[in-house]
Amino acid sequence: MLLVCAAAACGGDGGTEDPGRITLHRLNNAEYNNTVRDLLGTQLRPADAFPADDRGYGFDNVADVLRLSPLLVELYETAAEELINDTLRTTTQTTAQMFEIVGSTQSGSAQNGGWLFFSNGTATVNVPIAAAGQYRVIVRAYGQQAGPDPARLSIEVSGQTPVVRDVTAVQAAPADYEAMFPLAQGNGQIIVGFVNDFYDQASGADRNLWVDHVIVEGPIGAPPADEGRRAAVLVCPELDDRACQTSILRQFAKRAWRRPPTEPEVQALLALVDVALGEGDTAEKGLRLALQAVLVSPHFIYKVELDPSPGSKEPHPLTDWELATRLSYFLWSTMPDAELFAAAEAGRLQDRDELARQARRMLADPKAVALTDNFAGQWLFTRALGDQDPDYMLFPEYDDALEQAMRAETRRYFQAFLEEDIPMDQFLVADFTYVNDRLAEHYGLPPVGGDELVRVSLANTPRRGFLMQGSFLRVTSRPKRTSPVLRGKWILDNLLCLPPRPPPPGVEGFPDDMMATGSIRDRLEQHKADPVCASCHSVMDPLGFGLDNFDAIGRYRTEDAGFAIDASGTFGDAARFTGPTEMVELLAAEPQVYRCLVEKLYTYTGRSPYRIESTEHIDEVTRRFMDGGFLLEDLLVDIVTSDFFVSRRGEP
Amino acid sequence: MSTMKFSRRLFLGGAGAAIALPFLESLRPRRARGGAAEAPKRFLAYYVPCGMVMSRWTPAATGAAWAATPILQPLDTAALRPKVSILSGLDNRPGRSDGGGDHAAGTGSFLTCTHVRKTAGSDILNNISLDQVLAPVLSAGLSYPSLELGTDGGSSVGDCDTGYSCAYARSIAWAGPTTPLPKQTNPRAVFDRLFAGYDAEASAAEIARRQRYRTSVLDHAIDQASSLRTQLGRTDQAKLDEYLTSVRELEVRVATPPRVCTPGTRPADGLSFAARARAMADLMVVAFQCDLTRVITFMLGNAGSGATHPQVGVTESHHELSHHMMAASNFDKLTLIEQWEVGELAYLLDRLDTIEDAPGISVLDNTIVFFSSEIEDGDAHRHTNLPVVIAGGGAGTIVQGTHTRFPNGTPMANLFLSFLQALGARQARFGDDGTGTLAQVLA
Repeated sequence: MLLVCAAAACGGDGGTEDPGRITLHRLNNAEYNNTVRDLLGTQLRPADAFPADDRGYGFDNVADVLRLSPLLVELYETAAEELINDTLRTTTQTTAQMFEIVGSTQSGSAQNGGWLFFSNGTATVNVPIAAAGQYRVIVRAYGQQAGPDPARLSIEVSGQTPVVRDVTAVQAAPADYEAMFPLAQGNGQIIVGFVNDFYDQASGADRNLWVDHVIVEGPIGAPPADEGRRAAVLVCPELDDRACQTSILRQFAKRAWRRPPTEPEVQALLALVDVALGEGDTAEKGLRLALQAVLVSPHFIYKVELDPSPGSKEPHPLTDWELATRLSYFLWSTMPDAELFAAAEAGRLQDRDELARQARRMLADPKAVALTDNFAGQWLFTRALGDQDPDYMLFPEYDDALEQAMRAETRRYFQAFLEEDIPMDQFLVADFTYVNDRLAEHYGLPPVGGDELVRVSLANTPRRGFLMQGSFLRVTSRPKRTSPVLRGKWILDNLLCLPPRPPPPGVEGFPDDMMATGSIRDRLEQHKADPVCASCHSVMDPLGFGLDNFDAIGRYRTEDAGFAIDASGTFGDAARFTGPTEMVELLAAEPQVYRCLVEKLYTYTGRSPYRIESTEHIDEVTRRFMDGGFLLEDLLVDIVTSDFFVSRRGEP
Repeated sequence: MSTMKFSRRLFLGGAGAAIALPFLESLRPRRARGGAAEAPKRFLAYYVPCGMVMSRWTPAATGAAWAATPILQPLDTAALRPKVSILSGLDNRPGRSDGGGDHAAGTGSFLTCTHVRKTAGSDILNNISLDQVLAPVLSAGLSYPSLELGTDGGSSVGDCDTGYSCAYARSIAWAGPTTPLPKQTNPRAVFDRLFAGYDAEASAAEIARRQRYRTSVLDHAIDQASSLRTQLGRTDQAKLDEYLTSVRELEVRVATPPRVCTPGTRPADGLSFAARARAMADLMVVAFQCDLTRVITFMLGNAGSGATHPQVGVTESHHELSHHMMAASNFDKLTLIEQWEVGELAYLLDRLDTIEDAPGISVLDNTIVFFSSEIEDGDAHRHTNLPVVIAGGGAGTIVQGTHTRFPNGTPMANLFLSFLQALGARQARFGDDGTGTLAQVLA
């Protein structure tokens, strides 16, 4: 065994421990998008335009590491305005307006209740447009026909190409002629004209065009506002009434700030309504301003936790509201839902059993996919799939469909452990996985009948567990070849929490030249020859070699560039393995793997590792996890009901 | 050269009927040191990762008749030769690492010439960068003190460069010792930030009202944060101070009158790496053209970038190739990549040179462009004899059109001190090892 529990206190239940604290913790990009989705029901994802999250300790949600810059604040401000306008958007009614047509007396005259063009000319109609969009312009007309062609009507919107219509109708039966134009908000102009005057002096044949009115209809196809979303925020209709305004702002701030606002805070928001009213603007405009301010506030951007005495190391429980926030962002990467808020309001979350009940409820909720997206995606490097493509000449079969299948496989696999009570000591060695036809073919398995993932047995195959899945094998390879060092390093960093020291200067990299002087193992022998290198590489390289039967896109192979794969090695001090299956079994039997998972989860709650003040606590949680059957859900519940999670202290 | 034409006016950063000023009118006068109207001076830093194959970069001869090497080919045109200079022999020794993380250390010091603190955690420590010293001087009164742009946000897993925080690897602009400035890497998002207009028909009264509204919202935020701050411990206060500083700075900018401009087409989404680089160049041109800012930094990839370059037929990781182990095939592929990088620079310079600031004087003539990398040779990871191109005349203050070789040990910080003097922000010291200006650079 490589390592047993770090502290002598392993196996005992420690006394009072220091719960430490999480630094003022801002929402990261994924949390921002999820939060506005749940707060407002919006489809907008403003954080997609924010700069990349600051990363540290393997995750993008570590409170000490996440920073805030003027750029980000500016984008928050813009997003707040966009989000509130989107949420409060009112239905754009499609209207129809009718206008009489009056042209110039040089080319026509009023007749029969309309306008007759006796020669080529135009008439301009001014049309006020309330909302930009596509409009249908309909002109009722007939022609006094003469000559070979029918009378022709042109309909034009200034700045756009005119539309010409043949007016075959006659006085007895005028007809409607229409064209579609985009019109901007404001004062539009429609120009109606007669373009093919005809007069034969000899026969007296005279062609003229009569137009009656023009109807302007639109905007056509404008999306209706979601009245439900607007009404969810504007909870009362009398927007001019101060009591209604107060109610709206108090309820919105309570959800957005994840705790009831104080009276002075509500007054400060009402003051923004007054700013708009003072400018002669509407109460709704004022409310929009105040609602934007709620989303720009540090109480929205940060998950604020307070200490009664910020300079004291005395631990104290979080408030129910703070606890609800910690819990929902940990399990769902988003704000609490109504049920969790209700439990907080009723003060029930101080009861550990209730807390556990809520946690299990939340883990059974679809929103728990956030753990797969954000925790597993970063722990297992699944998010990196697609960051770098393999060489298309060497691996022509690697395409989007295969990559998607690989991503889906690992996600589904992790979810099985989360949702189906499969013990985590199977994670590295399980003899099942999830494949569709594409992935099955890639793995040399029989087809499964389509694009949907199906659980299959790996019983008579060389694959077992996560480390032999395509997503892992691909992201720990180079474009042209495997990298035993990358794979070994990943195992040290992410399974054992024993990150290797950086290499000495000048030795990074490896000739990409495929003209080998031996197998990849031979070429990396240099790592063992030099003692400076060997200290880390003698631990790291064998783990990567143990997986070298799987190429840079995860296919099984028994030779590489003409050399037979030798996947044997040692793990830790003495344990030998002859191939990948034995290696992963040795790893799965190593308690440090499970302690590391606990550390990773604690980092994912937002703590810097150096803030995990009590290693004894980590040992205890690990022991309970292992003794209790390695159930991931139980581990998560244990974490969120521990003193570490439900309490905090200040700092002197 | 052609003068910029107004075909469609859009109002920036809020509404604005205001004033259909011709471009030159709207530019004047930016008084740096009080005096008659001066040419608008600008600075642009262009960073490329993983160094250069110096044997294919450095011209043999110094002086004006330098023969173009393979990598510098794209600059060897009649239009650009007189306006660029190649500088050899400059060192950025503070960019060395303390074991591992050479790319991140070099990148962190790229515009600071400061030896950054080695940490993978949150206790980062650097210094203010050159562009941020220049920003308040050059961009005074403009919509943005500076713009930080790039092509890549960075990986969404793992750490960045062994032992060194991602903050060092992903930012060259630093507002202060602990404040890296993040960059935007989505061209469409940049366009929207700069050009999402509101109501082109709004009156001056409406513009002013909108500014008052924004100020009210930001005042409210400052009040809330100030009140919250009193309830926090020292680490949390330091975090909240990031928020307070940022909101206050935004509030100052809100008061800036909006500009009139023709922004061009909105970039598409989901662009490839090469297409993003090109789109960002176009945005940088428009940002200068519209006088939104006079200081821009751009990162064509992050520290030690592992990007592949299919646009020039290279499928290997850039970083891996740069550890060439002296193999000729690796040099060839690196040359393709580096030539492409210089080609992107040439595109940007050409565009800046075709826009007039004044009759006969282009935007490029009034700008100093600094192009370099975080290390010299990608395999040896040296921080000496760095590959440097400077372009533009800095409004007649910078020598152009030559290859200059500096004596051993000449610090990059002295080049930056020269820039500071040329651009009207003279100071005596810069970074860890800046001692004075370089006479060969100043006109």
